[in-house]
This record gives sequence, structure tokens and C-alpha cells, in this order.
Amino acid sequence: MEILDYVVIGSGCTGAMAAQTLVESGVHVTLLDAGADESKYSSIIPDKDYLSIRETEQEQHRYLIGDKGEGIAWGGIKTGEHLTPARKHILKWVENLLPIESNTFFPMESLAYGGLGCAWGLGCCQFSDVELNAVGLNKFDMQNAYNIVANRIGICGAQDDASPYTIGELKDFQSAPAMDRNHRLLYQNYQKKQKTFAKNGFYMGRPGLALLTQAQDNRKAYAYKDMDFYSDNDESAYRPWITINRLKKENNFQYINGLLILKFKEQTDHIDIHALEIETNTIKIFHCKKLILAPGVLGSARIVLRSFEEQHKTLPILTNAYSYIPCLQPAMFGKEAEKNKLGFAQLSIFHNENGNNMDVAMGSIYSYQSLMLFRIIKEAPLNFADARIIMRYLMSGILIMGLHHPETKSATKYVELIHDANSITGDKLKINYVLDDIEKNKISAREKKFKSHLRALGAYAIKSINPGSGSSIHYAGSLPMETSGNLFTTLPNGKLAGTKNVFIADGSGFNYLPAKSLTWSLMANAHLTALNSLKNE
Amino acid sequence: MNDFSLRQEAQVYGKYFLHKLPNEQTIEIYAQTNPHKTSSASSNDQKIIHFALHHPWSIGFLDAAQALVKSDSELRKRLYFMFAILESRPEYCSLFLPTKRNWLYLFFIFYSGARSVFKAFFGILLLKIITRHGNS
Ligand SMILES: Cc1cc2nc3c(=O)[nH]c(=O)nc-3n(C[C@H](O)[C@H](O)[C@H](O)COP(=O)(O)OP(=O)(O)OC[C@H]3O[C@@H](n4cnc5c(N)ncnc54)[C@H](O)[C@@H]3O)c2cc1C
Repeated sequence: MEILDYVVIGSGCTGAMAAQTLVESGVHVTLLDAGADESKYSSIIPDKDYLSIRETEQEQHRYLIGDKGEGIAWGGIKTGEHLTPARKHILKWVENLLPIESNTFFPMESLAYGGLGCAWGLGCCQFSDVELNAVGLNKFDMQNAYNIVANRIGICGAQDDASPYTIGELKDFQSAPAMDRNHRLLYQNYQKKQKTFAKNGFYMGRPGLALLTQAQDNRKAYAYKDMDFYSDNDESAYRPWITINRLKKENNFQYINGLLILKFKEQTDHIDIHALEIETNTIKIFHCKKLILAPGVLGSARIVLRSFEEQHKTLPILTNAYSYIPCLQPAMFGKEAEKNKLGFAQLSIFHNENGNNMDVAMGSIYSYQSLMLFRIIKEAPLNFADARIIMRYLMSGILIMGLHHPETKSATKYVELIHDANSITGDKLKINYVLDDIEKNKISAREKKFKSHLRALGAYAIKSINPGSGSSIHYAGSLPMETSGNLFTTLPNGKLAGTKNVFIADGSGFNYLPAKSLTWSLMANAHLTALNSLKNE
Repeated sequence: MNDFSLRQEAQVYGKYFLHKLPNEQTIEIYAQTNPHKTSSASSNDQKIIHFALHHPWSIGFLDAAQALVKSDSELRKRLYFMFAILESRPEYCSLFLPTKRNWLYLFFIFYSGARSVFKAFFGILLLKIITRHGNS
């Protein structure tokens, strides 16, 4: 029987960071992963800018809308419907292997090589000291970890009004990418009203992004091709598979994919890991000394609930309330398409209502171009032919704000593993996520404030689209961090309570979910957890 | 009920947007992506599509009306697929990219908006007639 040293589950942002820390420390690491890959579209997308592609490429329909039209979403607004064909693989196998029953929660999970990080928007924020405290993390350790992760993945940003909420105290960061016309105008208007905004607790500035504006470690500098929703040709955007591809070259690392990890069982001197080989549908058992779980918050919940075999156990869950708000900036109507452009968020706006750095809400602002007209045209209450004529004038003035609200636990937000004879794993996750009236009112009042402040900058919200709880794709809190040592909790060092050698590296331990982009904090915590797993405590 | 092939359908919908027949590749892509495959068209939907395909002049009216009263209808879905396909063809991309404004641009916006509203009124009547009286 071969007993592996360190096993990490999952190749997403947190698994990649944990694995890198372990590999760099010299121990032997095996990463077990479902690892769905994409090669159909990524290999045919030319290394050209979006407008040149649109004007010249005969095959463009294949990667813009998909061979079977899979990039054309019709019907109700669903989480992830905007994913382009080359990113859709992040959803492969999910419906069958990770079944969910819920009519109140609509999450996105991934079994891809790189996890959700294959499609993430790169937004990076540091949590404030009070937020870290509420989450359950140590501010000194995290500060150090933020720097280490930033060096690995490459973060750009700017020192401006928003930097306390974005790059925080980060020492080394690259300069922010150039803004397009739409954002430049909005930002100029903000600078004129900065004082009034600050009085109301609103701060605007450049977001932190895991994007290289200068070349680093064989990754190129961002080239403003506006193909960010389709391809990663220059690797300027950080994706977790970049880390894993690099680790694969190390002697003390091995990667095994095609596995769905079901559960673990701690024996006296090792841990058994039960895995389903996805292709053959057969069970395989691995053995290891230390296990680091990073399959995402819902993934960890499934694995831990199966492993502890406690009937009818419910676990808490957190997700940011989220809506996206298309806005029109009339001063920009009727401008031609811009060739050199950034597809990611170009401005962030934060609302620090009480001035205490807790309970901060975040809006990320994007221009609308490379996601194409068809995705937005169905929102217009007009016939498509006339809507097309109008939208061509309006398009250059469209801004989309994605608005995230902070989230706390409550008894009406929980997950439970229930029996399901029809599912391959024999179970499914039942999720209930209900906000109370106080929470709903607070969210809607805040949204109004964001809209009125954008209006003051000359950007008019046309509607607010709320795809439902879970659509923020930010999840946390199923195995809360505490010192009690109770089952189904995480100890402050990342160890799963009730085990000797199982650690949780994803966001399951977070007790509170700030509205800010969470993934940089997830990765910093994964690094710290991996370090703790190296200690013999 | 629908005696039109996917390719014939593509021609009708393409013409609605372009005012001329779409090229062969566009028709082929429409047939390949096949918006019917995920359809659960009700009998009313089928009547409306049948009418639209036999009377292409009516599509603008039906589209405008359904944008207000049943924006997720089967006809709108098929038109939407054709819209996306045309948008992803280099030959037609200039019809979908942002356009530079001239001094008449506000007029074009209001004219197109008003035209759609007018079409919607007539379209709603048409929808009632079609769904009540069936085919042709
Ligand atoms: C479109 C989009 C935009 C986003 N934008 C931002 C943003 O701007 N800023 C931000 O902070 N966050 C953003 N996010 C969220 C961010 O992507 C996630 O927070 C982050 O990727 C989570 O990483 P993770 O490692 O915890 O989990 P995941 O990314 O879910 O990775 C899980 C990994 O585990 C594997 N796995 C899961 N279960 C099993 C199993 N049972 N057996 C074997 N393997 C398993 C999967 O294959 C995968 O590799 C965005 C997400 C999306 C989809």
C-alpha cells in the first residue's frame, strides 16, 4: 500500500496556492482533481484583438457563440449564463456529479482544471483588519500572506481613494492598466465630486487585478486585445492552471485528474481517500499522511458531510447578495468601438457606510463591448431589428456595475446532504438560502444609494438584474473557524476539527463574507493553511 | 405543423434583419446551432411561428408585440439565435458594432423606438387573431 505524503484536493485558486507552498517547502505533494479541460475552442482563437477578429475571422462564430450555439443563452437569467463557449468547460460534469436541490440558491461550481479561476474576473481586494477579525483570520499572518500571494500571481492596481479597499498595504504591485474612454469620463466626473462622495462614504478608484501590466515569469504584459472573456493567449491574466502547469515540472509534485473525491477516513497512521474515477465510474482508494481539502466551499461541505456520516446535519453557508446594473452614460453615446481595450473591471466603487471598514459594499464597473450586442439586446423591450439600431448608438455608453453586499450567517442559510438514488454519488446537496426582510431592505436601500451616486457622475442605471442568491460566485462559511473543536468546524490553523491531519484550504472556514472580491484572501488563507499543515501540531 | 426546414427558416429570419437573404454560411450555421433542439413550443407558439414564416412582413410586428407581452416566446428565441449568428459573421459585423453618431442620431433613436412601439400595438392585435383563429 502506497502512502502519499501530502494530498491536495482541487486545482482551483486555493488548491494551487496550497500546493505551491507545500512544493516549495520540499515535501512530496499529490494533487487529486476532477480537472475537466478545454481544448476545443482555446486552440482556434487567434491571437488578435477583438475588433480585428470580428472584422476578418471566418471561424469566429465557433468561439463567440459556440459550435452548437452553447454561448447563446435564452430564457431566465441564470448564474454563469454569460460564460463564453471557451469558458463553459468550467461547468462540465457539474450537473451530474455535484447535484443540488434548491429553489433559493443558484451557485456556480466547477470541476475544471483551474476551477472557477479559469473564468474569474481577477478582482483583488484585501480585507480590512476588522473584516479579517470577523472572518476569523489573523491580520498579521494575512498581511504577510497577501504579499506572498501577490508576488506569485502578479497584481496591478493604483494608489487612489479606493486603494484602502483594494490593494491595501500591498508593497509590490504593477501599475493599473489604461482605462477606456467610458471609464475615463466617469472617473473624471468622480474626481470633481470626490468630497461629496467621501462625505457619503463612497470611494472610487482602480480595482486591484491579478493581471500583469509588465511581463513576469514567462507571462506577457496585458496587450489590450479585449479578448479576456474568451482566451488566455498571453497568460497576462492569472489562472490557477498557470501555477499547476509550473508545479508539474517539479520532482516532488504529481497531478492526477479524472477523479471525484467522495470522502476520507482517518486511520491510525494514515488517511484513506475514496475517489470515483469519472470515466470508468469505479471507486479508487488513495492513502496519504496529510490531506488538504480545496474543492471549493460546497465541495468541502459534501466531502466532510459524507466523511463524518452524521444524519440530517446542516451546515451554514454564506454568499454575497449580488445584482448587476446596466447604466447608460449619455455623453459617450455614438462613439466608435475602441480597439485597444480592457475587458475586466476598470473602476471599483466602495460604500463604507459607517466609516468603520466593516459592512463595506462593493461595485465593480465594466464597459460593455466584447460580450457582443446579442447578450444585452434581449433586455430591451423592443423588437430586435429596431433595438439593434438603437443599441449601436448606445453601446459605447453602456457601463455595467456588478454590486456585492457583505453577508453574515443566519439560521435560514444552510446546506444539507440528502439521499438521492438517482445521483451517481447517491446523494445531493440541499440548499436553503433565505434573506430576512431587514437584510432585503438594507440591500435595496444600498443599491439605491449606489445608483444615485452613479447618476451624480452622469451614468444612469436602467435596471437592476438580480439572478438570485449564489450568483455572486463568492461562497464561504460551511465549516466555520472556531476554537471549540466541535465537529464540522475548522480550527484557526485550518485543521478540520475532529481530525488529526485533515486541513481545509478553501473558504469554508470564513465566518463572515465581506462584499469585496474574496479570492486573494482565499489564496492567502490557503497559503497559511498549507504552512500550518507542515507543522506537526 | 411547421413545414419550413431549418434552412428556409434561416432565410426568412435573416431577411428580417438584413432586408436581403443571408449568405450560405449564415444559413448553415443556423441549421447547425438549431434553436429548435431546446424548444418546448406551445401550440400558440407554433401557430405564431407558422404565421410568421408564411407572412414574413408580420415578423417585425410579432417580435415587437412579444417583446412587451411574452419576451421569451419561441419566435423571439429563434430570431435571437439568428441575431447572434449574424453578429458573429464578419460580413455583417459592421451592422452590430457601435456606430458613430451624426447630428441626426437622437432622431434615429426616437424614430426606431417609436416605430417599435407602433409595431407592438399592431402586433398585439395580430397575436390575438393568430392565436384565436389558428393557421394561415
Ligand atoms: C465569472 C467569474 C468571475 C469571478 N470574478 C471574481 C473576481 O473578480 N474576484 C474574486 O475575488 N473572485 C471572483 N470569482 C470567484 C473566484 O473564482 C472563486 O472565489 C475562486 O476561484 C474559488 O477558488 P477555490 O479554489 O476555492 O474553488 P474552485 O475554483 O471551485 O476550485 C475547486 C477545484 O476543486 C476541484 N474539485 C471540486 N470538487 C472536487 C471533488 N469532489 N473531487 C475532485 N476535485 C474536485 C475542481 O476540479 C476545482 O479544480 C469569480 C468567479 C467566476 C466564475
